[in-house]
Amino acid sequence: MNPTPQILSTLLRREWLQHKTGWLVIVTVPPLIGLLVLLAGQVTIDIDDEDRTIVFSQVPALALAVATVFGSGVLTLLLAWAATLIFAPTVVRRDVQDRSIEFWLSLPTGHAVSVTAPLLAHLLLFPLAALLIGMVAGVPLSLAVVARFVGLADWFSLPWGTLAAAWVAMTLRLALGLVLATLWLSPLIMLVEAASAWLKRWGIPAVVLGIAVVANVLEKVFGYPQVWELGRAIFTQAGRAFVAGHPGSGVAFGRGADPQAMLGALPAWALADAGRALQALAQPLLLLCLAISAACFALLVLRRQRG
Amino acid sequence: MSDHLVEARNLTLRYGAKVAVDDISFHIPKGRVVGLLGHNGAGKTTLMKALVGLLRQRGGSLQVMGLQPQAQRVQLLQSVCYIPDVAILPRWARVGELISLMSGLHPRFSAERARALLRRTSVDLNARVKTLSKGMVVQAHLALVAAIDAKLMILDEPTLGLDVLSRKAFYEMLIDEWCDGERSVLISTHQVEEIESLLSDVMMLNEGRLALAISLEDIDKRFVALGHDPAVAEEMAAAHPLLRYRVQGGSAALFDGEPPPSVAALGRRLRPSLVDLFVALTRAPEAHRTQF
Repeated sequence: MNPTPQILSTLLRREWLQHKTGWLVIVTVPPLIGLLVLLAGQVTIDIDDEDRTIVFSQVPALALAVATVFGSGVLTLLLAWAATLIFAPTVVRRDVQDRSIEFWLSLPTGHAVSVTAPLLAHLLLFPLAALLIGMVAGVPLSLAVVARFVGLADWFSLPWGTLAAAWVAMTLRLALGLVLATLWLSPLIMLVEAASAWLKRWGIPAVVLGIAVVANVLEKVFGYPQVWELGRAIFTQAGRAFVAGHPGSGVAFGRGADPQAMLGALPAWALADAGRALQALAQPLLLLCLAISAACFALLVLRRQRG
Repeated sequence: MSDHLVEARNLTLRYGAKVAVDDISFHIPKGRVVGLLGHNGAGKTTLMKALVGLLRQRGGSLQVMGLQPQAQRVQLLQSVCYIPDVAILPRWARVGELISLMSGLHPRFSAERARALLRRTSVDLNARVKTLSKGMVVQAHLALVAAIDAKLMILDEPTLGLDVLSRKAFYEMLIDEWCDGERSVLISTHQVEEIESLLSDVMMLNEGRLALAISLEDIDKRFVALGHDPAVAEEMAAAHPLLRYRVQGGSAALFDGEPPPSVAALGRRLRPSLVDLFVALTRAPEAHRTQF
């Protein structure tokens, strides 16, 4: 018998083969557009309503480089995550829609692993890869930005040791944030997945309508606002998964701060903040989230069993 | 484990509230090529899905390769391969990619053998499935499935919608490359005449019930067709044949067992065709109605 890890890795490879074009477009087009805009266009950023703008040539090269690298990573991650959340409901039904489900069902793979592989690939692996690609692409982008607005020599004289440590720390912190945010949001994501699998295109409307009706009836008729509170708590925790920091966390962010000192303190802050995000897992809310997700996963497996 | 690859006893299958297969018993030994015949909706696809663990039995017992299909589906599918009636390979994939994926997903799949089988066809390994004709897709699917070292192949109307050349190529590959006297095939099709020469056994389903399960050898022993002149049609009808039908140059009557001697003397023995037998046994409740 093929061991489950081999089957899972093969099913993940199937996801890559099927979706690589879309994935590559999502992760490469934004950095490329950014690069073209920087090289050929005019960039002006309004920072408030008083017509104040950032004059790039007056910004320190280090700040420009850091903003470009991290901005590239975060932007690519957000795009990938948004694309994933938009298209994820279709993933569970695609084999039924293209009628290849009978082919996949004729192979000796378990239903659970067959459901797990696309969820893992789309909800976690692709956004994580996008983050990594965005962070890596940010390095040559930063070269273009610094060379354009400050000077090429300034890019080579950046404090690369400090920058590399911050790069690694922020990449890992964002990666952890993504995993934890997905965990916190998993009840909603899996509810939409299960509803889409069973109710086809009516799945998302049914979930939205169902939650709205149940939550409003419970709150307004019976005086129980728990559904809305649960939703707010889930989104709050998902946000804190990325930045769980609180005052006095060790990094002086803000205008006038020394960029190099700020950068140097970033790894320690990222580590401490990751600890806080992990600590936030220790609450009953997580158990509730996991229980809802597990129930929805079981519904997905049952749907696949029925072909 | 018995010598039978498939053993069903009083098997009942449902689709929702509808009974699709009703209390049937049969077995499939090693090395047989079994044709599963039935009208649309007779329960063929339901039965085949149950055999590969895609449908839960609602009564009786079913064992395939000594395993319970639904409970032991993953283990079972290592020894049983299946081409469903909607034989659709994923359209986005290249044929070579499917070989690579099946290598990782099926422990008894031989990529080398699949490539060798595909070389016999006009299917290019780099071609995407969506660029192939229907006949080529079915050929590719059979090549992939025939590269599995399995004991039983289940084919649910695999040549549906194919032209005659594609059908011929499909059956040639099936017989040449897969059937070795040890392995068995269960195949359902409406093109009965085309596969009659390939079959060793036949099962006929009629509205969920098993109308007949018999070897082709035993058909010749059990059923008798008598060709006769129209002038003796009345006498033939009076002997209550299963079916009366036209043959070239006259009429014929099909009997289950030896016809009465008085009637046998009025006609000449013919070999009953599978199609005539199928019509005779699945036209209930008007079993004695003529086909004229």
